Amino acid sequence: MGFCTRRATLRVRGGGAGLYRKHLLRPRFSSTLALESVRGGQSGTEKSATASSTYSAIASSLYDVVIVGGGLSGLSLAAGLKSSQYTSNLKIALVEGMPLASAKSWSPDPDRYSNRVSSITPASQRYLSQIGVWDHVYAERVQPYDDMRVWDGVSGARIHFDGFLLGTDDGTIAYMTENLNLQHALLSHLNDSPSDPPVMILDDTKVEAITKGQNFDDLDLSSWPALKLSTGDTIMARLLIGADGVSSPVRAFANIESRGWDYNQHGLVASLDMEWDDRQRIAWQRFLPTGPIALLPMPDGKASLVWSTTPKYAAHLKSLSASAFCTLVNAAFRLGMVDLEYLMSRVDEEEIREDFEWRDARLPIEAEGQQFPIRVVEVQEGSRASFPLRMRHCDTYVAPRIALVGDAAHTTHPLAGQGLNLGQGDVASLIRVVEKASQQGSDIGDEVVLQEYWAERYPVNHMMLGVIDKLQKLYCTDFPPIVGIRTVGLEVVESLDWVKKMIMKQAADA
Amino acid sequence: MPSPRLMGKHIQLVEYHLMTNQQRVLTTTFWPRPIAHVYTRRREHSNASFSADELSHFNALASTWWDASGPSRLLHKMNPLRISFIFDTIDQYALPALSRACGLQMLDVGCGGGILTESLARNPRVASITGIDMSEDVLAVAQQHKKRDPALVSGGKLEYRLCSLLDLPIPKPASEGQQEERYDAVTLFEVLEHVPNPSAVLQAATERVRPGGWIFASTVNRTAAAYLTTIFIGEKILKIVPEGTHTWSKYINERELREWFVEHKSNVPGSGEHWDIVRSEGCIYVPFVGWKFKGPRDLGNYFFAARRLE
Repeated sequence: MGFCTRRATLRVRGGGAGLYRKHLLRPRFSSTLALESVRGGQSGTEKSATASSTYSAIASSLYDVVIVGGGLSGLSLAAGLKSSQYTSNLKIALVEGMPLASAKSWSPDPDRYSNRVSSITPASQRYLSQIGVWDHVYAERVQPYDDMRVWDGVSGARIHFDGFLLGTDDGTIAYMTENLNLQHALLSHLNDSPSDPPVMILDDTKVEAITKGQNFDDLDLSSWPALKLSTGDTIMARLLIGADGVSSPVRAFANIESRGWDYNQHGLVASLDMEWDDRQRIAWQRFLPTGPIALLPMPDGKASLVWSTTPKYAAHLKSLSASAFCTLVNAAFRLGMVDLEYLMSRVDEEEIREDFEWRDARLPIEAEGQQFPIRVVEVQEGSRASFPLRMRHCDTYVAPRIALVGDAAHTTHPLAGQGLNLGQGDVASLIRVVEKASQQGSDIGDEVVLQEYWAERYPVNHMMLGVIDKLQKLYCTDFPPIVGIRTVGLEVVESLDWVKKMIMKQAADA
Repeated sequence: MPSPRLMGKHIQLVEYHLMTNQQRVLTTTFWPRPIAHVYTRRREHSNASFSADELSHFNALASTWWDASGPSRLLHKMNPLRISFIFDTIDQYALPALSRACGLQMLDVGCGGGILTESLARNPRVASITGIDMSEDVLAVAQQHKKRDPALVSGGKLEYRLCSLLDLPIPKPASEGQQEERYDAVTLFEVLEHVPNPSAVLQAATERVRPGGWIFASTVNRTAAAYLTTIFIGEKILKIVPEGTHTWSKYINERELREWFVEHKSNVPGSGEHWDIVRSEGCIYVPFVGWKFKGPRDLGNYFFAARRLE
């Protein structure tokens, strides 16, 4: 039989007719032999010995799943696949350009918080618990909140989302935590939960090129993506996952178009100390015409700032002294637009402080209470950073043997705190699809299989991206008619609990 | 040397003569068509003698059979339904102690390019699978495509054979010192409506199933509704099915299939063989969603599972 196979292969190379001849001849003239092979069993070993010498030579470089990107989406996907009984036997490699050692051995310093934080919805939190990752999260570094105050900086119209409307046990709207805490938890989980085969984590390794595999005579890998790594190795993937962020090389390889636009805004982030630890579980967001400013609670009287503003203001805010910066953050939550604009034009620390105190003292007395967050007193050194904000959405998330997740597939404005959660939603959905395919025996890289993932996630993400984009546009103006319309709209929503509940449910389950 | 195809015909004639009179009568009562080969429309390609451009022709065919957005898209979309039909039925109707639910030995008749066959070969519950088809070129596509998956190349579970079901030797039944070699399950998906004599094919399939084993099949009812959906709309209007795929007169009503099993395979004295029809479900293609088990089983497409009792 081995001889027969080899001869047939040679003939194909020679002219093409040989392959047909092989099929014509073999079953009919060697029926005893063929019957044995029909039954598998004893002929199985003989078959694999002759079937592919190429296979045994390159088996170690073949993976079922190769994930590019060791961020939260990529690591969650690896952890999720390993936690499922149907996919735990998959051979998985994760390639990350940066070293992951520091994230893996991270032990939190109570006085310092990273400026990269995420809001995790209850749905994402449930998923992380389900796959066993949440147990590895430092709980003291997680701050749930069950109250959200959002208001219009121009008209003062307010909306108050109270967690009890959700009707859940604790009314948690979302959990705030550092991305590092999650990354650490994911790496610990992967490290601690034994799996066979274990996830091969190739960190500090860059993907230098992605090409298609080779067509050997006895094994045709021309549909398999082949990744040339900076270590000199080449690995091939049955399914290649792009979890490689906004400028995804995997997406570029798959030739998938990503559409969208840049908001003329930068997101300025910083880790802050509040005046005292008031243990209120409130997230604050005020829409200024230059962009929304959000203050998100962190444990121990800390908070995280996400201030979307013009690139010019972002640069200015980064250049100010720590104390002047804190004053401006306080001003941005409390003062009127004219006052704020004036303060933003000053640079002298003392002048800014005195001017703010004078103006703040003149605020109407009812503005106190729970209208504003308590004051910010300190910004952690070196925690101010900014990045351009944009909206991007890919035409598709899948191609043969390719799937994109998280920021590689879509990028959104941070105003709704959904970035991480949309990615987690992608991961959960893709895992379901891969699970089903593995259980059935379908090829997990098959486009028909992967299309189910895209069909499930695209509409959900598209709607969320669209709503966030419209909100961003609606609030980035002080043009009076628009302000009037949005104020009435917000007041109507504020008076209708069921609408608020619907909005919260949408955001919590995304 | 006679051509292999002629040899196949010869074997078949012999088989026909070996049939009992009773079998012959029953065969012709239900489907008054002469017994012949398991014959697919695709076979016509292979009737042409080999020419210089065979290879390019074959390559062209290869790219469309497995092109998920090409002419075979509906077949690709049907695959998950087929797989869950097989395993859900086994899980639901067979007592765990009696069924060899793991390590199944299977035969896929009319395997085509191997869409179902490959999935079954990768399925952890299947120990071995043989795919047979009558068309050389399509089977060559299957062979080529198999090489695209290292798991199939190295696994040794999947074997393709170019032959008709009637040509496939009947595996030996269990006896003293002899292991059961007949199949645990034989699949005939979208086959019966393409063959000139479905009765002979069914008969041949039942002979190759061990007691306690299964036949899984799918085909189309011979109704006006089926003509409208599968041929008029599918092939002529929407053109989502290649034109000429279906022949209405060859469709088989669910009732006819059921009656065939009742008449031939239920308590036929002396046959020592009993079959139960355990499941039969209508299915429809819902655009943007896929194939779903929905609607009556006697209207359009349907899936069918029969079990040979121990």
